[in-house]
Amino acid sequence: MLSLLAKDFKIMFSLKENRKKQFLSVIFNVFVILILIALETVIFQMALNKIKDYYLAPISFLTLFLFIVSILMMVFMLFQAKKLFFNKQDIEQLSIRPVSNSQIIFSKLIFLFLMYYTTCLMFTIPLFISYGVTFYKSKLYYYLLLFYPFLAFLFEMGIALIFVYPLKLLLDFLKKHIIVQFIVAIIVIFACCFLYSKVLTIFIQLVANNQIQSIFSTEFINKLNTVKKYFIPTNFLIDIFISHSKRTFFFYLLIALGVFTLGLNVAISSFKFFKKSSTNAILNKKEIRFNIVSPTKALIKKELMMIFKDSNYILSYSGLLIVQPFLAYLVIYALNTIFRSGVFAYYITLLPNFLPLIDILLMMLFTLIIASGANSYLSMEQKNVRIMKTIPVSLYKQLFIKVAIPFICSLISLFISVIVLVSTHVFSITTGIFTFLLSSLILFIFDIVSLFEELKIKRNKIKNTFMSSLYSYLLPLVYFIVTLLLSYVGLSIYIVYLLAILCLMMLSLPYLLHFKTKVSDLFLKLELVN
Amino acid sequence: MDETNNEKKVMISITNLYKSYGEKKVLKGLNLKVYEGELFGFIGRNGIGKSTTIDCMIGAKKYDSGEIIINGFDILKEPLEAKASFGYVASEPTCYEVMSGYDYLEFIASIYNISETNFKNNYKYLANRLYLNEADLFLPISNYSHGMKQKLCLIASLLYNPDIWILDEPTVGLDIMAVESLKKMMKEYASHNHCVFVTSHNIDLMAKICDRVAIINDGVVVQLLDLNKDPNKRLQLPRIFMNIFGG
Repeated sequence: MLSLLAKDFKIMFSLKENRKKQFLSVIFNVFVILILIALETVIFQMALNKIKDYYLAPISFLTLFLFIVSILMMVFMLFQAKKLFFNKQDIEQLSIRPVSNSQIIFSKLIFLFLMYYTTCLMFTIPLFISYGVTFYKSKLYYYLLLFYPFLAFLFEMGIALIFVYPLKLLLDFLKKHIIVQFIVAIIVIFACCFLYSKVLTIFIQLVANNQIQSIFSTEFINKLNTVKKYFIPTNFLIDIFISHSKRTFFFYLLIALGVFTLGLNVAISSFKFFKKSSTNAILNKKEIRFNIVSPTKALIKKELMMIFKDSNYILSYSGLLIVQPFLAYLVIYALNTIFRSGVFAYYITLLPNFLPLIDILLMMLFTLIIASGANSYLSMEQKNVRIMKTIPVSLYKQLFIKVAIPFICSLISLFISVIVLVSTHVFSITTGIFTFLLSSLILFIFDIVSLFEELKIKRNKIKNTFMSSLYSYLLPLVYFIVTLLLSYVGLSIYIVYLLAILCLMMLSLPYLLHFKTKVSDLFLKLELVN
Repeated sequence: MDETNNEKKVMISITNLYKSYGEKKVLKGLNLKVYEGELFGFIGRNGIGKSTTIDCMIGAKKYDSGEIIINGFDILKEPLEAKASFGYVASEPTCYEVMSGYDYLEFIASIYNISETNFKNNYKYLANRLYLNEADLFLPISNYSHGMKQKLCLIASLLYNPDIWILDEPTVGLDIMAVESLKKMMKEYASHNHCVFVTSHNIDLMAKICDRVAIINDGVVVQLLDLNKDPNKRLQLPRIFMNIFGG
């Protein structure tokens, strides 16, 4: 059993890297967790100080905070359970060892419990302590808190176990359908942007405008008192640990045990089914689905795999692509707020259209810096560039797909960023449209320049990135200075925008004109690791 | 130097091939013809231009002058048709490590427009012949050993049943069973109206399996031996090789 637990620990914490990396990773994770706990406790304490004199408000607020933690814990445990129960390699290894299903499941449950107990203790106890200190609770109160994770585990883990197999099926489905995966990612980003903007508004109200009373209005607190009964299972747990209600304890225990038993049954059945089907998949390949597609689709699929499956790209490109709307909103909103307040507000009246022009500059920089994470079109192939050279697919088609995939991904991210900025009134519609047009154009030029740089790589020589660096940093700055000057001399902003578009199009022309003549020659001369 | 074989179709024709890297001339008017049904060996010492010749043949490198015709198609003028007719295995396995073995084969099958039925039959048959466990095809290629990657590349190169099979040092990293099976496969492949063009440092292996062998030195073919017409040459090949390169 201990060996199984140790093995699960290795799976979950990927103990493969070297010790130095592991140590740094642990330090970083502990740091992040401490920050989160501190943030949660400070916000809760701030709220508690404001509302401690309102009737029932502190308990309602504690319930609300614990309910949020509870939801996050359920989601966290759901993914942990999925990783533990449906690990193909783990099952392959275990299927040839003398261990029974019940031993495997039991060890996984123990592991999940330990993980839950530690996490729950870290994120809920500070809230309870904060509450206890404010309301002078007895020692018994603090002692009983150690049992909170036990009781919460039954319900929350039960829910996580009920949904673990549906989650696995959903993720498998998304893995197979890249377009659906992308649509879901966009919906999630939209939802996150919406939530983020709401949280940011509250935060600005709290910190910047000092309107804390408007948030904690009597009406809001009454509403919270009413809805807190729907915060299951937290409302029951609050009753048990704050009001020490024995009746609620037995009632909750009954429900929680029921949920846990149901979840456990679902998890066990699905685990057994998965284990059986995994073994069958190895033994009986007749069930494999073949997916032979056209050469174009195959190349697109390969590019998507290289960009989204490679861990380097996930960290540098795909990750940034997803957070671009957040980052862009955060930075541009903050800068606009600064420029609109204090002494800056006076200065920018001297420079007409300063704000929209600098906003466009920032979006250009954002787009280009993120795109530079995926401009290694050919060097990412390494020695596989030989495959590109020998397959019977037109070189232009291959290069077009190579450049088009990251370009389209960047374009979608840019589009979503602009939509977010326009919908949150950071940008006007006009600024939004021209931001999209100008950033797209500069992105296009950058991608073409990068492709030429890639094609000129020689074996054992460092890629010359002078031109792409020039285009990604200097060109946006030149755009900004020139458009600002044109605007300063009284030219209409629309004419300034159109002139900028025209200039950028002119800049891309030399590359486009020489594309066909140069590319084929450069591609044959290309010597990466081949 | 070159021998003619009027009855059989010329599958690979290289005429006056010149190739240099800067000032260094590697190929200096190389001529070669490989016929249908032939297992052709191409040997020479390290750095003499074997891989450069292959790179020019498969369209991976530009050459200074000359003409390369693959299955009737000029590699420069009709590259797609020429590339569709050969399967190529590099000396170092080349496949996408982010994919599973199966994903990679599926990618190759899609690129060469193979039907699902052919794909299913071919990959199973080839995996079986090369002792690559089918279950391993579902693992990420990054988990493969060098030999497994090489086997995967061999399977991928034959998946679409090309007319010409070009192999550059194919036995490196393969286990003994796979080497034996590969030898048989090369012979069988050539005998089924295809042609096999292979380079190797293993002269004994080349002497055993090849129908004809070309020895390259100083940028040209210096010896072309028909091992079927003169079986004694099979035994003498290592000595001939050593004589040419001064061993």
